[in-house]
Amino acid sequence: MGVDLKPLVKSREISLADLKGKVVAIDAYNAMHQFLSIIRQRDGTPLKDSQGRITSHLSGLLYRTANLVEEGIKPVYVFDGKPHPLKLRTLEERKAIREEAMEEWLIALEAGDIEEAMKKAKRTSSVTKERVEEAKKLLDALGIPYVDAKSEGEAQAAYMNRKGDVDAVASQDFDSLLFGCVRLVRNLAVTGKRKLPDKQIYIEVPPEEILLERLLQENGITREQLVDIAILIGTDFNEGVKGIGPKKALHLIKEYKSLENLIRKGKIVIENYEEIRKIFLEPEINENYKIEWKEVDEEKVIDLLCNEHQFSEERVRNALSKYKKFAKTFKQKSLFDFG
Amino acid sequence: MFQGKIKANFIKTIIDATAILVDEAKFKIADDGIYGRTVDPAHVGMIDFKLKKEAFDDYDCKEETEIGIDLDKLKTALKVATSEEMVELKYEKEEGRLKVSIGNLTRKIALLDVTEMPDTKIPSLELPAEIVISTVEFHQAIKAAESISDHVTLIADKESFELVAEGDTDIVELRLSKEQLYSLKCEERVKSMFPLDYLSDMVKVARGKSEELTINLGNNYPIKLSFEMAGGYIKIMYLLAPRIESE
Repeated sequence: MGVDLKPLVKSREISLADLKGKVVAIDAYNAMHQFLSIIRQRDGTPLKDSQGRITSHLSGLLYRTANLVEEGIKPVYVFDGKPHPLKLRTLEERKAIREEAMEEWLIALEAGDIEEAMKKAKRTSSVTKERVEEAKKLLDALGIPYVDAKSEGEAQAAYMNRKGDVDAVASQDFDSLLFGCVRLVRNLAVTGKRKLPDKQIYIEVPPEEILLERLLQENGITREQLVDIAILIGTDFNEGVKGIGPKKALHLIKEYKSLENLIRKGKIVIENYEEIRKIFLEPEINENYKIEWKEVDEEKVIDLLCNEHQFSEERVRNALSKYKKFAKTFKQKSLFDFG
Repeated sequence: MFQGKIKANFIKTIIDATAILVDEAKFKIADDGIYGRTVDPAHVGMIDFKLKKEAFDDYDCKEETEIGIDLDKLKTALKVATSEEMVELKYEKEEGRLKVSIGNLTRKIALLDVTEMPDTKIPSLELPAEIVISTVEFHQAIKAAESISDHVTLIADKESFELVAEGDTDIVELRLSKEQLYSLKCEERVKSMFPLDYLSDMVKVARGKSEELTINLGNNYPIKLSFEMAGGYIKIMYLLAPRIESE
């Protein structure tokens, strides 16, 4: 979800090794949503514990965080705060989609159509309050820091990136760029393989990097103009103008410079564009955060995952033993922390 | 334009010393010698070297210039020379390549674009303790530490210098009194921990090149390692960021 900027973006393929030693702010909702939709059995049933509670998000969080840490990447998760009132429409729509998918999934299951079932099941996942709380508990036990945003997590992560507290922001959404993140990394939270939609084919999806400065330069626009372009296309906060896609929006903004001019010339009608602009350009920020990696509390992790949710203790301990070795290097300082 | 003849051993050391941190580096060629300062991508280790023109035979630099070097390529080119053999280096702007001649053999190495290589600034550090130690002895201790751990703690006080590494089961220690060191200047006790992968590479470069190694140390602070070759006309300095122990 988020705004569709793909046609304007030239991304650069990178490897996890390129992020070695780097602090990466991970859009936690975005990552959890991916875990919940992808980590499923073949018929679309998510991972569950003995009480039937879904645990896909915890599994994803543990193993993916461990993977990243093994690559020398220092993750910080950023959680969404209160959604902006303008986002409620989008959230309602998503809820409706989930509910519909849930029904269709059950129908497909009954019909024995495994492929269709998986397709529908993926659309049913939702990041609930309880799941967020469990995720935070797991991160605490792992010693991985997280930051609570005041509103959009991406806005918070972008702020931390601009301030230099993190080296990159990991999210699938291009919205991060509208919020001003310097370096966006996509395809980081999930592992390198992804299934092609509607096909039984898996393709390698390497991480890719998008630099805001380069994106603006290549398109010959400012960040303010990028936000205007997004508003024309449609964001989580507005529907956009009918018939205007990314390319046309770029063309219009380059020709008319701003939404004001477009509106004045009678080209388009958008009512609350100033308010939407403000969401991206002057978001509410939590300035009171601390990014600190702590020792992993192995027994707490075991208690949470194995005792509470029946994860295999052997697998969890195995993941942790590698994780602990690499997490130690988090204490490594940079020369530029001094002098 | 620049040209100069230098002992293979000297130029090899400079290249090896830089290559432990990066694959590509920018060198500045000035009228009084060649300078290089590079930090590794993780910003944990830095090298700063000075290769004075006196270390060369027939050093000649008409115009100060910067060249970008693929270190691995130059290393390969230098491999054919024995350490005492003379290597002739030549660079002409129009040519855009570095010409490396060993005896009658020449190789022209394509250079890298330096505009993408940022200048590195040395952080201004206050390092209260200075220890001058036998390179061989320090290298031995680092090697021993490396076999049991991935980090090492260095401690200095008024009377002594100490290296401690603790593995899962074993402990390695080196303790030298003031008399067992070349020199020791330390008013207050200082202690810092360092990653051994970097430190070991740095000390390896110094071993066999210089009898003495100068260590500047602080409290939970970066370390400075420096040594000289060619009668002081080659100076190599490393900075290495510490690991901070959790409170």
